[in-house]
Amino acid sequence: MIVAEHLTRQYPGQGAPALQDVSLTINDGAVFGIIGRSGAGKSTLIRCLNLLERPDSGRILVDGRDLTQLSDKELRLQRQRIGMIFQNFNLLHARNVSDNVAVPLQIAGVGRNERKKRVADLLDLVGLSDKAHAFPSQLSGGQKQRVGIARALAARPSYLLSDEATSALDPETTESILALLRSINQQLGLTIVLITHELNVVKSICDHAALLSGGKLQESGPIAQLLANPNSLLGKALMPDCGLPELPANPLLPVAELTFYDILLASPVLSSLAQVHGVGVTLFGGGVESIAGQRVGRLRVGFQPPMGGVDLSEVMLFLNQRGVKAEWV
Amino acid sequence: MGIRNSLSWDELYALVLNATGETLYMVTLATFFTLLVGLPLGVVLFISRRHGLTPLPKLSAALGTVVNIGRSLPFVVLLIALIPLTRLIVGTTLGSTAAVVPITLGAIPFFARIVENALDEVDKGRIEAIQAMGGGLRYVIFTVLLPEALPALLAGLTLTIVMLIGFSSMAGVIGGGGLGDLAIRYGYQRFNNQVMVATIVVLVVMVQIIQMLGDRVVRVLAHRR
Repeated sequence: MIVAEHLTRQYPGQGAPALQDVSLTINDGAVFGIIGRSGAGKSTLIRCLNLLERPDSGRILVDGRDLTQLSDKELRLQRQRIGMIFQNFNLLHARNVSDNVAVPLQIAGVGRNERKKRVADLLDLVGLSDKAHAFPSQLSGGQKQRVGIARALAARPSYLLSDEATSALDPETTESILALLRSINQQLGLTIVLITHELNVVKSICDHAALLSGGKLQESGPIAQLLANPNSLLGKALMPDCGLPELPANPLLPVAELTFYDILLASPVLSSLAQVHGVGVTLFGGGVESIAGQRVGRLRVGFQPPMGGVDLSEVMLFLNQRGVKAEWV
Repeated sequence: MGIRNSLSWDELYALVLNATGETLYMVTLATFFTLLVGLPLGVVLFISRRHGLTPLPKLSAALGTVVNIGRSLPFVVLLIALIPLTRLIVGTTLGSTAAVVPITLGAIPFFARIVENALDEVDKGRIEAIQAMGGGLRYVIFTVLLPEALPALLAGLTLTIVMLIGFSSMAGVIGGGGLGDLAIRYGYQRFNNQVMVATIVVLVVMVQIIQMLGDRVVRVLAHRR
């Protein structure tokens, strides 16, 4: 478990602090996404978690040990348990792929034979066995990041920090790297902390998320909770996009936004609405996405009341009773 | 018979060969010692910087000052100023071996700065990656800084060797011999154009070969990475 308590960091000569009293708890096995715009302090925060950046005040507890209190030697040992991958990969260009992956093992004092075996296993895990003798300059961005991941995993860490690891990659490569991270999380039980400015990354692999802006933590928690909380900015941002933001041409039509979770997507709520209340439903936009392993759908619809009218609050009640969250626009 | 001013080809050959040998001797030894002292000095200059890996402001300022003094003196002045030190180290102040001392000391500050700058060009992210793995200063220096900067270091070494050839040509001032000395004694003092031309040709060829070799090694290394 990683617990950050009241982290504050002020860069000399800069107005606002990069971090202001940030506290976070990251449970074992989680994939924890910290999202924010550039300049929000994400990078400073993640670099505090292995003390590449030392906070001015606050503590970082990794499995109960306060990193800020460790001696240099103890800190180096602790860091071997926390792998890290980077936006720019930071591979050593003078070494080939195998030798890059072997660096943490050398640092950890693993013998030559065992090193060789471990490197082969890792390259197999990230699907780069055929590139063992290639140099980083001969690899694509996605391949470089795979080497970065293999290297970060070499010393069998319990935690993996990802500093915008997919930000320099195209969407397809990003997806394949995220899939790799997801499977590592599931197979090895590795706890992953990642920072990103892309909502899609959070939607795709995170089960916990935090929003950072202006150096302050705005909110954090399990994504399911954030999605369920109508006041959560992050929950709202993570929801599928309804498409066109402007209102439909016919302003007389009452318009609502409906949110569906999981199996509800499959059940014919809208058609039963038509049957029971005689209300026609016009679809203006919508989307379905998988967020934190849960399928969430959002529709923007207009209600066409039958002749003689209908009490629209009854329609809302009908929907809410069936687990569809409905709101007037 | 008056003073004979023209040399037979055999005489010319012997003179130039001997002087070339002396120059190579001085340059080789000086290169070795410059590397031996200049490389670690450059590393220390780099890591002791104010925002460096192990900031040591006092050491950094002291070394920086010494290096700057060394670089600001014209070599001929250094050559003479160092005579007492040369006597202390070599036991004599005359000859090729004695000339190696000022030549080396003249080149060390230059090479150390080259090393410092080459290390500064290494991507900071790679250093951080090693630190994030739990690698200490030793790993940062030997697995990141020096290997990653190798092409720049070799290019800088080539530059330094060519400069050492220049320095060695002034060794004649303290009886060090070499091609520069030959050019002054025969070409300048005796107006012997034969020797002058031969000296120039040998020096130009020597520098060309060193530069070519240096460039090639750097290219091969850069291509591989």
